[in-house]
Amino acid sequence: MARALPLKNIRVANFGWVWAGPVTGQTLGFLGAEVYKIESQARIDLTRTLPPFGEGVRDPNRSLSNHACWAGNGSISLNLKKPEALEIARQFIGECDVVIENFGPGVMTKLGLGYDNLRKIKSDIILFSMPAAGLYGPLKNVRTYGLSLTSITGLDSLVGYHGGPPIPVENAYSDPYNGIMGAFAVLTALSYRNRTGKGQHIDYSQAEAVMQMVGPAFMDYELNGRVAGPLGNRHPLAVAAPHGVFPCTGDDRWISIAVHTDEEWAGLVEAMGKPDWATADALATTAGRVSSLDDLHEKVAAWTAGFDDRELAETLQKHGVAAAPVFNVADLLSDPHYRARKTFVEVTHPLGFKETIYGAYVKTSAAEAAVRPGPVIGQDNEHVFKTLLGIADDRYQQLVNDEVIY
Amino acid sequence: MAAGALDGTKVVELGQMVSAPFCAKLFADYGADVIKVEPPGGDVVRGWGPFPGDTPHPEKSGLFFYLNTNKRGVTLDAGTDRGRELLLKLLADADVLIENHLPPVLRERRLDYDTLAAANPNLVVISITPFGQSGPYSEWNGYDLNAFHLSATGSRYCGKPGEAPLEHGTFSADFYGGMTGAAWGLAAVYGREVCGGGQHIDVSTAEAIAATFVGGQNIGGYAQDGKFEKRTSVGMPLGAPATIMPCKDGHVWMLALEPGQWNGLAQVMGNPDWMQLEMFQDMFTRAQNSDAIYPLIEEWTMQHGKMEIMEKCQAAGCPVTAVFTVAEAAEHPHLAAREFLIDLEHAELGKVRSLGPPFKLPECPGGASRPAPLLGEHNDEIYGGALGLDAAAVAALREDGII
Repeated sequence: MARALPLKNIRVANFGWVWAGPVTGQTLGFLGAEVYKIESQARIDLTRTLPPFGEGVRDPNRSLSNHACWAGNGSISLNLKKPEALEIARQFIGECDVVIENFGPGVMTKLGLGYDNLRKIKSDIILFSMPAAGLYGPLKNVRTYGLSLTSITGLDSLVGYHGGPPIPVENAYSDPYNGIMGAFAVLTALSYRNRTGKGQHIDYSQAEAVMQMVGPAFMDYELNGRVAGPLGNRHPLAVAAPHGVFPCTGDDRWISIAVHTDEEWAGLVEAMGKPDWATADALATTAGRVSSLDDLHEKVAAWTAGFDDRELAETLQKHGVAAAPVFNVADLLSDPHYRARKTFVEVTHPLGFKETIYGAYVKTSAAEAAVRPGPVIGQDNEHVFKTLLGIADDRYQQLVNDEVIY
Repeated sequence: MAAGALDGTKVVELGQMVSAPFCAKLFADYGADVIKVEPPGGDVVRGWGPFPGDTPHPEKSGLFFYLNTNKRGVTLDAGTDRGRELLLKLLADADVLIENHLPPVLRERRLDYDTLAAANPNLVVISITPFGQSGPYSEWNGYDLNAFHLSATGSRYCGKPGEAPLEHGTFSADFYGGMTGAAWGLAAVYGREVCGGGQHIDVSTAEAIAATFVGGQNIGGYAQDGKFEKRTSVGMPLGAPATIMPCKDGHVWMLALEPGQWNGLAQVMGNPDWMQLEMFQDMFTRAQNSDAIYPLIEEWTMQHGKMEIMEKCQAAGCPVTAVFTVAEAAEHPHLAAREFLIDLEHAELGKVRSLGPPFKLPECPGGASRPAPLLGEHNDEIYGGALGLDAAAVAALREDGII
């Protein structure tokens, strides 16, 4: 039986920009909150301009890569360069529980939308600020892109082939990570407000949130003074072997294999047909396998190279070995597992074209997440400005003509 | 201790390794009362290290220390009838269960969601596994590495063309999935009244990344046009400069895309003539000529240190950053000014620094005040106290190896 979504009584004003902030709004939206991105034709978000476009028509409302990341946010359009637009934004915030922003520190204050002002409008407002390195400290104004932010956390120094130089991750892993973690942050503050009636201004440093992922290497530095380098696909604490990605038949096909226990190793040896090298006593223990890692990986790779990745994964799983194909982008859409879980869904965009976006990436038993396509810039203007804020028809029209609502 | 945002929330963690413990740590950092339930032999991470001096010791794993701060710890063999009963008692007045067993394990132990919900309809169960509770791979064995590469992150975004796709060098899928479970799970706790009770939150770590990272930016285009891309080992192949480059003492994340950024970089580099050429005034044409420009920039970076390059470029409006080593990241004055790192006193490890919570809540800071529990440290306190067993009963459980 479908029940209500957990955040159905929460309203969010989302000033989030590009990727991380919009994903925070999306996550809260999937969970039932009413979320509106505040944007404008006067300054179109960069991600709305990225190809490919729906049916190939270049238009800021048709960027396919933009939609999946923003779906779940509604949209109202206000040209914040105009004082009247700021006044309406403040009025709207008065009807909200949460305000999200990922500008640099101080930008909201310059707009007259700093926390001190917002709490005068609504005393228990939660302002969620997520700048790159937090609201204070010597690096607070550091300039980064989502994909380079990880460089100041130590994470980038761990990525690359073992013994080689660091290799960049070619997109901003930290953006959706911080977007979702941001929703957790907002929920902690909502929980506190529920108990105490108090709002607050959350200081979320994207770098500190990402640094949580560096925990294993950080602890080795703390305890042993060791500074890790790129690890490839090795186990971060060298307690599993083989532990890597091995070639299979076909172009750029690979299988991941991770052996943690002696039982799993026995399963792998069995699957390989018990070759002499694998039954050697030296490889019977994890310590033995880890100490001959390079040689072990070479031999396993020579064996996997003759098999299809999916078939081999099935075979190894039957032997209790943790093995899975290494997917490329195309595999995500055709794979039976993701299809069964409805990871990606085809929806009809408000402008009429069909597009594929991700759906509920977490399954919830009470009620399925609310997945909506879009948003089109300003799609919720009439609802928010006329119905919610009670702006009369003639004034609304004037505001549109004056490019305040724009 | 300062009030935490989640004070009063009761969490039971039945987890090992990284994903569920990290999820529960996020609850614990913000004030929830988290009881970590370990098998009598302990969470396997106790054997993973890193250990001081590389000497294994079940109370000295650095990763266990980091992932389990602020939790109380009990031991319990959930595979036995008495252990199972004890666990159900712990869950009777809990708000949340966080677990990361492969789905068949809890079914075999009659601890599946339906059974737990019947015993406590208000319980939110957060399950975090590589492949999730449903779908053809849900019965598969799997770890972080398998899940990460099922997300296509490595194939699309990390590694050299034709060579092995790469993980992040940490438990990337486990951290991502653990954090995702915390967000969705806390929403379920927050909304119990409107939802009419608890529910099951099913996180597949592979799926969370496949959808929100790789899928978000790639699947729409692929579904429509049938084309997709793969890793190049260059940070951003379409614009330049945008990649990690070597310098005199390490590496920098070289980024100068917009005209103002490019001019800022030129200024820092002493305005060499080639940077003024018409063909290099646009990030796209620079990328088309990346074979020419990257060596020219590298000639300059190799003569300068990473911190100097970062400082000068940042001052000139160009978003170049140094690729910090873990040591440089940890010792940066910025983190000190923000009091991000915290000291905790541990019975076996002594005073150890750990990472602080991921964000700051000024009204209710929370934060860790208690080190990770020793194995079974709170057995008497919890079984004797909260569950009301007398000393003889606790002793019997201990003797029989249940706890």
